[in-house]
Amino acid sequence: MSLGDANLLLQSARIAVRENRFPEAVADFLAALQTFPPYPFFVKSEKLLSRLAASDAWRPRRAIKLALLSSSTTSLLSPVLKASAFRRGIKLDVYEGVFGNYRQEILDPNSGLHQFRPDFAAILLNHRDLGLPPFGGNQTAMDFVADLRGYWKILTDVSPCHIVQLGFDAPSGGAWGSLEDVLPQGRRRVIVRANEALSADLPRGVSFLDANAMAAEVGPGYGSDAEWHAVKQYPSSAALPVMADHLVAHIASALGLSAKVLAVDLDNTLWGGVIGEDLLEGIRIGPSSAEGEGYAELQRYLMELKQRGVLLAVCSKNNLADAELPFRQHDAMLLKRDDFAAFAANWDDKPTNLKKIAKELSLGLDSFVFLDDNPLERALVRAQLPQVAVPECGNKPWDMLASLRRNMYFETVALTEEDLNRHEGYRSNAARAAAEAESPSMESFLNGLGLVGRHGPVDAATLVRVTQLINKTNQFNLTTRRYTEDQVRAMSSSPNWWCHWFRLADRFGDHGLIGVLLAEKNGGQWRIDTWLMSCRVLGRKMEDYMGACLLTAAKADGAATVIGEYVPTEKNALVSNLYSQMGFESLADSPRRYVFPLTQGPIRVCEFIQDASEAP
Amino acid sequence: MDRVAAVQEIFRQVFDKDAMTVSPSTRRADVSDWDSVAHVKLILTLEDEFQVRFSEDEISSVDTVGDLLKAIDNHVRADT
Repeated sequence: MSLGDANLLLQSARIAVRENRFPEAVADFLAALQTFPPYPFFVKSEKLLSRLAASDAWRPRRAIKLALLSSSTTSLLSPVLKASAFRRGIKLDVYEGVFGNYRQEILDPNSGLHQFRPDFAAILLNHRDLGLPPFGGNQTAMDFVADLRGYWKILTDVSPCHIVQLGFDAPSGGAWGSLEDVLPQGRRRVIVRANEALSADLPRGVSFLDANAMAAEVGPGYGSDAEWHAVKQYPSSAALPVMADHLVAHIASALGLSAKVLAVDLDNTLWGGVIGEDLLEGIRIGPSSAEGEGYAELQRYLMELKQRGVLLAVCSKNNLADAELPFRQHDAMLLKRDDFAAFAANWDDKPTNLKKIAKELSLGLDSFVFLDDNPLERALVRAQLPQVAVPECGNKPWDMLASLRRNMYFETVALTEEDLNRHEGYRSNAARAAAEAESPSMESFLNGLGLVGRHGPVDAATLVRVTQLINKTNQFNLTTRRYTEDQVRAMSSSPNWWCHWFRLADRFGDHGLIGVLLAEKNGGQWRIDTWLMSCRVLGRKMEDYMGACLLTAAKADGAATVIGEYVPTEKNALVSNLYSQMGFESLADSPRRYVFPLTQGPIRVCEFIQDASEAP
Repeated sequence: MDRVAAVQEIFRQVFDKDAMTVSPSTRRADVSDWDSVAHVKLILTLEDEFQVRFSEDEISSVDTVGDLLKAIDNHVRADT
């Protein structure tokens, strides 16, 4: 079995679980993750991971609750995040906010977000949210940033948590080309400025994660227009493993779980060749060869880590005098003997030496990373000291460097653990009341959206889209009745039916045809057969608008009552109380059926959505 | 493992149902969880499993498991 094949390791982990050998399954799964598999791996392994994470064989270092607040879909991201956290010894409980509804969720103190009581909230936006023109968008961007920073306060006032704010990516290839980089108000320049404003003077408990670092790591394909238009996925699924690793490394760092010690082998890890055999003249380090250059660069990286406070240690099978020789006498060695906090060069096995080093430095082995070109040594350390992070690093200096970079073991956020706990105790009703008084209200938020609704009878031009919505909408769907195009055409051309489509636009753009209402006229009583709405417009009071349109039409038609019905499915709990909220009364004798008496009282009009329908 | 069984295995993983069975005649409309996000997961996983890349038309016109099998067939044949 090749250690590099994630799918084989996954298969092996599955078999181990089936045979109740959980510790081996955990080891196989961790090894598979260490190969940095592409996105589909995470879909295939989602179920297996949840089993492993729930088993006794895995002892997480920390369990946290993470809320994802995003302007794009998070359901593809969530399994990758859990796997990435698993690799770091963090057990994640993830809350996925309603897509595109992060502001509403933050503003509503009773939202799923606040009920979840997150430890961390990741606000994941992207360049599309800014809606910038190719030139001149500076004020738009600054307003957006100022608004967003206001939401941080509202969020933490109600739910004290650590916020990770993802910055805006700045994709290339805009219509104005390089002018977008060069003009002072060019789009990409404005995004750079927006990120500066977003990350400047961060309040306590908020940290900033740069999206352009991830985008650069992923390369072209960070965003996929096809996936955005198909399922509102951004960045692309292919970019999600990198994004998840960055986010988890950031969270691990905020939790104080970043590694503190890098223990390295010497021969063929810090230099090419074997010092005991090749002698000082024979080892390859420095400008003599490509390999030597590579080792010099790896050493420079280690030096930079050391300057940032990471402790370096040597863990090598060598005679001590041989091992020390290059540090003392080779001109091309960047690292010197004194750069190492611990120096174990002897013939004991490596787990023994690592334990000795940990004792010497008074640090736990769970803060160690072990770098060694020899796969057998790596396997031995993994087996005996599972708490030590052992990257698969190949045997070339550039591969080892790439592995250290990719693993982000030493990530730091300018933030201490203390910051995290600071919010404890603030969870009082007084604080909550103050938050409600100061914060922008849901009303002002909705009014600021500039919502414009339209509706009209289903006709030849809208039939295909209406039928499509009828057959694919699961969540905001009161009855989940599926109809063919022919059936919809028959209903919409019948005088006994009122079949309307609904569209919604706001100041950011047109959401298109996103709602359908089909009602049957039975004399003085209308029966709502089908009521559905696309999830992408949730939280905008569109349901109020749709309801009011229907009731008004029924009244104009001379109906006395409107009957509504809720048929529960696995997916539509979202609308279980819709009719009650709309002012319908439940029918005593038939549960989940509701009546609206048109003869009593006025119809409540939706005040947030301006009606732009053509007169019937 | 024949291709229907391999595809069924992917369905079981994506929909998290151990005992799920599919056949070429299984319709998308009959699988309650087969929404647009699940569809993307399925497509990405199938592409990985069979080392193929579907066209936009193939992806958007899937009504049955048979359509998926046909799409896989098109590419596997074309590539060998």
